[in-house]
Amino acid sequence: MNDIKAVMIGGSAGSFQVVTKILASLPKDYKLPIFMCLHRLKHVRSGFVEALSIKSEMPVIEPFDKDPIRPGVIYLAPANYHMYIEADKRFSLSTEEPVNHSRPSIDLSFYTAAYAYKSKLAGIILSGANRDGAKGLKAVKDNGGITIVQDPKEAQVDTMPSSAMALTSIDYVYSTDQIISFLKKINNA
Amino acid sequence: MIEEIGIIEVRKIVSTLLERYEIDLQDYSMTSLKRRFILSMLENKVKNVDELVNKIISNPQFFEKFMFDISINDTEMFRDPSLWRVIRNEIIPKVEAQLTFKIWMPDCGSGEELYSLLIILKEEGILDKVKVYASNLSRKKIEFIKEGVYEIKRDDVNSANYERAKCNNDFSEYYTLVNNRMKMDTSLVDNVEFIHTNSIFKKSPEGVKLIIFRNHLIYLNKTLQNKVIEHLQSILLTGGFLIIGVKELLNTIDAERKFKVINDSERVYQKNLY
Repeated sequence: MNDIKAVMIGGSAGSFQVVTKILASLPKDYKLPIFMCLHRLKHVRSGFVEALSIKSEMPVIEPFDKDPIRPGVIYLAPANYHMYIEADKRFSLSTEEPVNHSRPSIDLSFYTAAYAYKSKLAGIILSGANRDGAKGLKAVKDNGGITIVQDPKEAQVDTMPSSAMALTSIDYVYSTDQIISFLKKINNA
Repeated sequence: MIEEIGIIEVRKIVSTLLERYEIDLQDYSMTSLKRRFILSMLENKVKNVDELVNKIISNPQFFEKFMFDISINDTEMFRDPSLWRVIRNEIIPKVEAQLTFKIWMPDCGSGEELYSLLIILKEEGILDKVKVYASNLSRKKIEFIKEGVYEIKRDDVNSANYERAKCNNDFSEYYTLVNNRMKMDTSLVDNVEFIHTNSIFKKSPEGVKLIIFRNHLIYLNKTLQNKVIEHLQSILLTGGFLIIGVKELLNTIDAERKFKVINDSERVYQKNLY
């Protein structure tokens, strides 16, 4: 197992239940930062992070531009911004054009995190009805990180995990419960 | 196809712009800057950074196109409708008592925020008593905004935002359809003073009552952000307002002393009296 320093999760609004289940299962003293880029309504700024916080022992926040990355925090990409991870381990936000009709774009978040964390990143693609994330997960693989997709048989809409599987080699195809076990395991590594 | 350029190559482009055109991008956020360079290379079919640098140095027309490509577009009108409601209902009543006043957009992007502002001013009946200044690093972007032609595919977003901003009319009153694109009512920009500059610190207007600078700090690193905020503060009149993007912060000790928060969620600040 690589020495994983950060986790990036991508999915659509439809993966909300899976995400809350994952967050509800992680302990309060979880050590790694977890980045989440989920497709969401661009004009609804509030509500999402609050809904996730209710279920999570870990703090869940939407970062401000140039916030430093802290361990043990879950970071949700804010509505209508791309969320980039800079090499100096800070966030940068961007209002550049949507990619794959999406802002935040999962590809861009994964791509920048892969560049910043190289082999120390685990990338996870959940259920979704869009190809966004496939190229991003390939970037994780190309940089030596670990690639995981939610089992398309379990995913509500499997376009997102299936597109990723078609584009790059996937280390693990996991059910939600297996994703949770994996996250706990790398935390104790 | 170029998908990645290294940090050394980014620096090479940056130093070329600095030496040849005195455009200083040294303290810009690395990820977005690199991405703009790569997108421009793809758009203009430039094969590598050496070719790009040569074209920037030797071809002024290419340079203008390059600046157009790397400057950031706004992408929608009335982004954050709740902010535009605050501008109309809370900011304008506080500043319009004056006979005339100045508003400055230190980077007017691709013009969507500028047109949004002008529509609000027109609907409030004060377009004539406001002097609006709009700066841009790209000469071509200014031409683009004066032309006022935007993709129709964004009309849904623009109209929905306009309605959420609870404006008075119908957004379609402000444009006509030309070749399936939106041609804005460019009489709106008739009295705007556009400023082409190679630096936000140069050619700034004086005695400004309201600065709208949303989602541009995010393209700068922390050091340059602080310098820019200091500069904007010096341009603002005492009691004047500064509006930044909803995910941007004025959180240095100096800025917290010089500004007070008027609206936290919409990032509206007022310059203190002392």
